[in-house]
Amino acid sequence: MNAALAYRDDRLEGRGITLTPIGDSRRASQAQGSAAFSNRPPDWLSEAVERLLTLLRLPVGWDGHRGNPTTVASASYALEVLGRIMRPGVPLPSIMPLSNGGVQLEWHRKGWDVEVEIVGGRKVDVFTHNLASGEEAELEINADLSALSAVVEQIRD
Amino acid sequence: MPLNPPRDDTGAVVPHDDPAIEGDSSLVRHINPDFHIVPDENIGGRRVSSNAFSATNGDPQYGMSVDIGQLLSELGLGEGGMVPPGMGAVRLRVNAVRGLALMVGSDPEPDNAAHGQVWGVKSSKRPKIHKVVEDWVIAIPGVAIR
Repeated sequence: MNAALAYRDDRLEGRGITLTPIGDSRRASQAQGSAAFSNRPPDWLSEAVERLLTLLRLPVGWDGHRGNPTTVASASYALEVLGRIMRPGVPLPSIMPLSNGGVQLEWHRKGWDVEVEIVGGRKVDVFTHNLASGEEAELEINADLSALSAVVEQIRD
Repeated sequence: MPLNPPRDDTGAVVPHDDPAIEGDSSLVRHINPDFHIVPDENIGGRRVSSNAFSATNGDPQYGMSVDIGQLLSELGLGEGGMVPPGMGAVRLRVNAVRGLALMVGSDPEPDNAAHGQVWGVKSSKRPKIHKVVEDWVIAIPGVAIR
């Protein structure tokens, strides 16, 4: 068992979240809520997993009203999205809970606001705001995250 | 005056816009200092995230909980009267929220007669709601609204 799989066993087993090395890409594409990575876990992974586990444990009403804790489906897909868009020079986004059980990933840097909403699996809503031009854009993304990757490139070091 | 919101067969309040809630009344949304605040390199500090304006439920209601200032006042409470200890809160104006094509109505709870909802808060509406936040009701030190 390699380090990545051991990591999965220690931290995520029982919560329905699976981390799959890129070399096993066919299994990665089939497994719900999997996050693909090569050889060894990237530096951001431990922090992201820790944060998502915190969000999964939130109590009902965490937002001061009737907010729901983050769902396993949302956390799983958030991890998969991160696995597909993170690259050197891109810091880990703020990983925020939504009252409906979703997850929001957000960066505010390089003159951009980038907010990525994930509720359940397989659908991502993206909001971007260029502070210099004032231009705002909304994207609805399904399986193909290439448009999101292009957005993330804007805030890369 | 207590409002009498429309309900379905199960007794649940259905989405509605109540004209008895005056346009210049306030809506109070609670802010969790641990889970609604993000670092923002663009402003060089911390600020409220748009995640603070998320609906609790999904299709078809997309309802976001608020305390209705008009009802708080009738209960003899201030705008922060139902904010849990340790939390911040921000004020929205009913007219501004209705201006985003959202509905505002009461949805009283056993422990909060001033509870209401803003219905229609899909993801694209959250940044727009964030933009019309008027001010803090209970400020979180060192944190900007936007």
